[in-house]
Amino acid sequence: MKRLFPVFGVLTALLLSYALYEALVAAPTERTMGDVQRIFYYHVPSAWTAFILFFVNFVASIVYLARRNPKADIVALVTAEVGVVFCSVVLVTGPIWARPVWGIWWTWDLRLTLTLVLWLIYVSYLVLRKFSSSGQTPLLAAVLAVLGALDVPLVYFSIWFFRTQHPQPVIGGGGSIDPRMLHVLLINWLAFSCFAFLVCWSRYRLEVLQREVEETQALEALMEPRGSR
Amino acid sequence: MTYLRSLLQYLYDNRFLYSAYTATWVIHIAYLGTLVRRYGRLRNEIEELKQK
Repeated sequence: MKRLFPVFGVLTALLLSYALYEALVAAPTERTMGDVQRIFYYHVPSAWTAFILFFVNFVASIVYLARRNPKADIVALVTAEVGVVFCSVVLVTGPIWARPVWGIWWTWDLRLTLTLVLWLIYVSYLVLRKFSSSGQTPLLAAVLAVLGALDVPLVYFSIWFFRTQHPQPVIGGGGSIDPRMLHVLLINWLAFSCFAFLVCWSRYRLEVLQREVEETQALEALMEPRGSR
Repeated sequence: MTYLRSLLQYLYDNRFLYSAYTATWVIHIAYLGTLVRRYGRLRNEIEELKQK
């Protein structure tokens, strides 16, 4: 598995470069918005990737609650952390697109507000994990993650069921998309998904190593004779 | 000079697009930076444990 990491890393870098070329050069220019519409090729795949990561966090949290499996706890932590990074990209690129198109950076529209709430829920999840020293922290975090995950479908379906300023979904919803644009969108999503997987993989290995070191340090502290402390 | 001016004009016209792409990679690289720093700290701790 370790040997596959550099190969997968190089492939992901190539795919990201190709996706960038497709987004900036190959994709057709949108008629009304012009080139600023190309932000969509980074904004939407980042949002989809964040949703997938939060879903994996939800499943891992349920597994942890059911079986107290430490590996599930690590997966939950890792996916929440990387999911927050992708959600941050969504919250930054959205307003940069909105400024020239809507004339404003931000509006308290349902989807935008729910996305901000989603980001805040997972940031609070990470803060809880970082600063709580109780032995119950993974359990509390898993409960928070399960409750927090309820916001993901609300964010996704908010533009289906409510009239919002946010554009309609391009796949399966009321909106439509040029097939060449859809191709570029899917390439970018694949590239960002591979990148997210790679980052989660590194972060998982780092967390496993961190826990091993902490265990060894705790054992060493127990083994030390009392007088030497 | 004309080329530089037209390049700057092009970048200014597409400032929102390039800002969004740059911001995306700044966020990702900043996070990867924190992972590299954490890994470096962990390696030092492992070295210390090996020396004990």
